[in-house]
Amino acid sequence: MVFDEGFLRKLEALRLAVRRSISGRREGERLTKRRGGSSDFTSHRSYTQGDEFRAIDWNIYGRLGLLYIKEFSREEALTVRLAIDTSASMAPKFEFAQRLGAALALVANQEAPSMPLPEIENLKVGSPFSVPTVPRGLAIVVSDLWDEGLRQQLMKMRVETAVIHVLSPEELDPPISGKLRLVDSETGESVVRFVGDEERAAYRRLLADHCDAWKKWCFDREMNYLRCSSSTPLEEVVQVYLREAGVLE
Amino acid sequence: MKFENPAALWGLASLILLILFSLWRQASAKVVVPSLLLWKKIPERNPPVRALRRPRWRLELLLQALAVSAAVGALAKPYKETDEPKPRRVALVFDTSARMRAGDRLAKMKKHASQLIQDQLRKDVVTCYDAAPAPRSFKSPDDTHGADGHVDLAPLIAAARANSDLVILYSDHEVEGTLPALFGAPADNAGIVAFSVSDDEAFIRIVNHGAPRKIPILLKTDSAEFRDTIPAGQLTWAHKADYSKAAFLRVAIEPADSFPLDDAVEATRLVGATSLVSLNGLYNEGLVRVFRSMPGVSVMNGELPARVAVGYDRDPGPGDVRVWLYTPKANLAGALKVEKHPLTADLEARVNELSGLTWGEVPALGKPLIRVGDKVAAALQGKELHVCVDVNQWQKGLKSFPIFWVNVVDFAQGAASGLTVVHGGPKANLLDERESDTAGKSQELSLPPATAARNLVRADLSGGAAWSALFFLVLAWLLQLRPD
Repeated sequence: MVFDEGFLRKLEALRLAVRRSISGRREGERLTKRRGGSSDFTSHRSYTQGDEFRAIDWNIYGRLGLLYIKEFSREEALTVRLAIDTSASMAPKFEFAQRLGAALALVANQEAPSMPLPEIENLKVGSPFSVPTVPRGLAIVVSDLWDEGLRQQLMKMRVETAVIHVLSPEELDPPISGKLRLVDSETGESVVRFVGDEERAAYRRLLADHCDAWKKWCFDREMNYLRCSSSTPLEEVVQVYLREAGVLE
Repeated sequence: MKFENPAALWGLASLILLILFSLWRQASAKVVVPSLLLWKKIPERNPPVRALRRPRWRLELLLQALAVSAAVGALAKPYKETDEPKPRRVALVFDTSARMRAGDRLAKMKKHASQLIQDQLRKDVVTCYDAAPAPRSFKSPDDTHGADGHVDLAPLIAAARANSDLVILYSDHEVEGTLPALFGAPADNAGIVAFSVSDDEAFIRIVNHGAPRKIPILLKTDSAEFRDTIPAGQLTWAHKADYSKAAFLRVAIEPADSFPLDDAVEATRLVGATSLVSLNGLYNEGLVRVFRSMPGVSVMNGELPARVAVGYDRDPGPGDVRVWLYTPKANLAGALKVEKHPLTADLEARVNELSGLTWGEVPALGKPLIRVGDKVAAALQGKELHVCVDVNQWQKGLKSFPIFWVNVVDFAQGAASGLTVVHGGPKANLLDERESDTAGKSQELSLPPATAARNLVRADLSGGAAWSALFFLVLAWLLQLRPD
């Protein structure tokens, strides 16, 4: 995966945007809801057995005679999990997805090295894809979202999730016409259709609806959603669209 | 190319239907899409008419069109006519007379005929005729072979003419109405043309078609050999000797010519497998029994012609040897003496036995065989034997009785009618004198050019068209089976 130096410098200026409070195992730069040892005060709570004595707010105890624990936010490293769809339908835009994933990994690794680049480079298209379970942190899913079963998997995600919907120009506006036997790249199933202007228009409408449905579905679940074409320059996607979508900042 | 059924060519109009049908029902092109999720929601519809204006020419359509065209062509029964000279019916008549064996001209004739068929009669209908010795027809000149005698060409040529436009005669002399291919031989033949032999003389007549010359001759029997030379210009030769005992006699001339078939003749004595003995006159059981006990001898009563005819107190019937057997009226007195003769072989040792018999006198004719005192009791005159003895005494267990009668039968067989000419040359019968002149004439065949008449030869092409249709059809089918 080769990026030019200018693009790498621009990546250095970016960081993953996290709307929710995150939690991770390692202490890092991110403030989490987990109470920890940073100097940023968060709130008070009643003392319970087992709390550290040093966390007791002795000022309140002096004034009110009640034991309150002073809570501070804990700074943790952001755990990022990148899932790139490797199903056969990704073939025409897989290289784009890989490069996008690599760029995101570079950004994420600036905080803490959590996404090894070789893993992304070694991905092969055509293997079954499922979204990995992420206990905490941020999940980024790069997929063409043709698999309806993906919704079920995403719903199980309890972490902040960004869905990057990648479509190839051929998917956005199929350059096909005539009587065709359309074969599904993953299942091998086929249907015969005459594809003319009407069919192409209908397809575009259905695709728009399909994307809107995903967008709404993601919105309802507080997931970031970004649709992009694999023909769009990667720099533009990273610098503009991902920032607009709130995936990067 | 012409068509026997040109109306079938209207079937080519079906090509239009094929193309229209193909345009309407174009095979769908395979396109792999990432997902059918959306395409499945788009309803299927028939191609609009404007889509037909952009036909996609495919190999399948081409093959189908070719198959239809070929099938229509096959139904129209195409044929091709070529103009070729009309085949002639040619007869090759081979003169296979014995004289054609002179030299190697029979082999030359076969070779010439085979070459002729291959080079000039290839497109003609050729039939060969010969007589070996019966007239016959056949296909290959190699099947002809020489006859052992003279062949009459007239019926052969008549048969050949009846069935042919052209008759080519392979012989050594011309025959009217045929195209001669003549093969002569050197004029040097000398051969035997007549031969006769009796018990005391052999005679031959020869012909000499070569230059006058001395011809060595060899006469040979089973027991003797005689060499001589026929003087130049002499055409007969005879030799006198006693051949009455010869089983065979062979005369061979050695003229050193190119035709050895007529250089030798042979005669042999024919001896029947069985000898008939006829008994006439008084019946004597001992006499009958002794003849019946001899192998190859059958006995008949009466006067039938026989090898041995015995007359007991009566004249014998006709036979090679006739035996007069007399009953003695009085016994001869004196010593018995047996003369040496084939008829008395082995009897000399049985004089005592014979002396005990009653003998009578026979007429003193010819050669005496048995004497009693000064009288003759048995004598041979030519082939007539006279014996006067008491047979009733003789046949009562005396060994001299069967010995004598066996001698009689043997003598009769030896005295069978003379030598018989059975063949001349190694295998052939005595050749016809016409076959002796082997020189003949040589003449190259002059074959007339092919007739002006020409044939229209029709080559039927419908089979090829049908096979082509099948081929294109199978190819189109295989093309549809191929993986995308």
